[in-house]
Amino acid sequence: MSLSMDIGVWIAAGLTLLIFSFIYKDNPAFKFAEALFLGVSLGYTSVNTYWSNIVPQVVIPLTPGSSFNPWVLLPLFLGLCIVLRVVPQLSWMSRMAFAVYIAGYAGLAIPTEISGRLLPQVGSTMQPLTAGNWFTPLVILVGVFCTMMYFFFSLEHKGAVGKISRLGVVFVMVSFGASFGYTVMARVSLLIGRIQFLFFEWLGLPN
Amino acid sequence: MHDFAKIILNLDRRIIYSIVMLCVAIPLIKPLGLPFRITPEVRDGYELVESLKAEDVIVISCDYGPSAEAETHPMFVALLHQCFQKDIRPVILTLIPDGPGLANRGLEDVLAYVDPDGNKPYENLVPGDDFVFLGFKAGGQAVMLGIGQGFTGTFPTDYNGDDTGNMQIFKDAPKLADTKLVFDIASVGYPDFWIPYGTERAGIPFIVSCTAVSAPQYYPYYTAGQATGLIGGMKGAAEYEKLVDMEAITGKDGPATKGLDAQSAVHVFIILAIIIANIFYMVDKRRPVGGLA
Amino acid sequence: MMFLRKRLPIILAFITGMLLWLQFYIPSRMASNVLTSFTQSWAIILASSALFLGILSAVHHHWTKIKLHKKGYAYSYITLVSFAITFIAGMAWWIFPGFIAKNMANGSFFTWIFDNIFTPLAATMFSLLAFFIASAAFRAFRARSFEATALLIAGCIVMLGRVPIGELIPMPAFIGDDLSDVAGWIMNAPNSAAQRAIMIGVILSQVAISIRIIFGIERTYMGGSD
Repeated sequence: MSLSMDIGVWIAAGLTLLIFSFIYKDNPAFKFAEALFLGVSLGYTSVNTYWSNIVPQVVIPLTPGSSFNPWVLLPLFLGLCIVLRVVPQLSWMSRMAFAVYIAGYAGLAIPTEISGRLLPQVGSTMQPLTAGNWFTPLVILVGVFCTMMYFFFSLEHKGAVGKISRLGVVFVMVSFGASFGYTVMARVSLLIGRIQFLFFEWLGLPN
Repeated sequence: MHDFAKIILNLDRRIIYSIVMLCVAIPLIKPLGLPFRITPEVRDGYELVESLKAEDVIVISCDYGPSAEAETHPMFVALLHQCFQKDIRPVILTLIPDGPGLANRGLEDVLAYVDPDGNKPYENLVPGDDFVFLGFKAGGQAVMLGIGQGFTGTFPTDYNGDDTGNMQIFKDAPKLADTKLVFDIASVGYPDFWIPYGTERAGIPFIVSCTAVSAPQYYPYYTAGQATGLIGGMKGAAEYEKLVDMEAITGKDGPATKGLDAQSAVHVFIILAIIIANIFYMVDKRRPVGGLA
Repeated sequence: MMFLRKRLPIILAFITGMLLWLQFYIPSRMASNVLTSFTQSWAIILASSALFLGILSAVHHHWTKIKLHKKGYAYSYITLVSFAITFIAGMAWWIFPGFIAKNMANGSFFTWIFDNIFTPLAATMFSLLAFFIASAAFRAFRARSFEATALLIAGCIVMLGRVPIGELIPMPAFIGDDLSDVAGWIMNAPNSAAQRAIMIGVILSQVAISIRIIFGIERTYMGGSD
């Protein structure tokens, strides 16, 4: 066992323990770590956004030279309108920018989502059953149909529709159960990651 | 019996927390080394990367931050080793603002890696030629469409601020359709967008590696063939580490593989807890009228 | 003024949405240029601005909290000071010469903050959920009905079948080798079916809402006031 001599590792370990203190109960040490997390996260996001987005997409095109492009002023103006949302008197200006931003993505989404996701997924559901591979495709076909019927509220869930939607619920529940199992797996993995850090990087236990 | 059921059902949460902690800590200190098989989802992804030729360009989208480090970062490291060993050239980017830090650290760690014989096999790799790290770009789906039009227009500079226009890697693969595949390592929902906005339009394969939380929602892509591989959570990463043979490369198991015994222990505890709680719930439900008085 | 505030955003939404929708069907240089300028410039600048708006809002919130001495305002000092330090460490090229390459490289103060403060805080914050999910499973996961039992059984099979110990639990030959095969089938068949049905519903509603935005029926982006 050889304890880490790196001050950074000690600070990281200290902060890890501060956050873990929450499992006993909420306390000022946890709140301190939480506030620190928020501040550092905001700082980190703003720096990366500036250097990786504003500099190449705004500053360089507006600097005289071979890549000079005055058209950037248009989206830049709209970008400033978005930021003006924090000024109550001028917050209405952000509407123009959000209109362009949101409607632009909406325009892209309509053809792309239909051709890139909807049709391939529907097509895959209706694949032909073969002698060697019929059971799983059939389960998927029945499952997709029944689940969609369960979420289809324009018909009353009685009689045959009721029975189909009831089978749909079973599919949904099995899927949610699988999601629960995977969620447990994910959370435990993150805990393992932190304990690995404390044991092997900080305390230097034999690895 | 009913009193005992009541006690069990109202067990102090801190006792449960302590058992969880022990279930994690003990197998990490005293590992069992339980063997595990490779699932088809992971093998398919690995084999697709293996089938690429030297000099082929692929896109690795590191859409994960520190909050999912334990599940996703080992996958990135194993994939980089696989790429560099086969001379595959990765274009690394991230679409989330807290993504660049880990991606950069992973890349620098792998580049500086010393093999068990004391050699540095990747020290001669040239940025912009053998690999490139483009950093973070805001816009999500728009960035995917943007690189479909051209990498250098969307990313005029790389993470270090160097001009991408002169990089050899982008002369050989100027846009997404010229690359061989997209490998998205994600803790957020970007795989849902990479498929329609990126790979389907470019006509190239897609492999998703994600946190376990989101793995179930990507299975429809795998079963439909829209994702060639699906690597879910720490278990998926451990399988990939085994396929890449991290033990032979680095001389020891990767972090995901090392964590699997602890993962098994906690899962067994939680299942036992659910079974015990349900048994006592049944007992408590059948208590005589009048309650426990 | 009313035109600028109410009509212009709807007109802009219609023009932008239609342009980017229709370019998909038109194989021309002009259509390609529309897509290129939106995806390589406009969307990135607007998305970055939206990120800055979020950051400014958070800073403004904590600044107001301090100014008005609201409950817990002392923690807002920590947030603002840590924000300022990280921001300066990342932005101040006059303090750290050789920016940007040096500043982003391993060993710089900015990456030191990321590695030793941001990473442990973020990773540990989410790892706490392991304790809570174990406790919640113990307290709330009950076989109260047929549906709940289906959920519980599927959850347990996947939990065991997706870790190495699941491969030690044998299954009858007609089902598979062991529990991990059962978990694999659950993921690939019933789970895939339910998730696909949900996905199809999500895509259809996404397309519907996109059409409503472009045609000015959906206007929530305009905000509530005025």
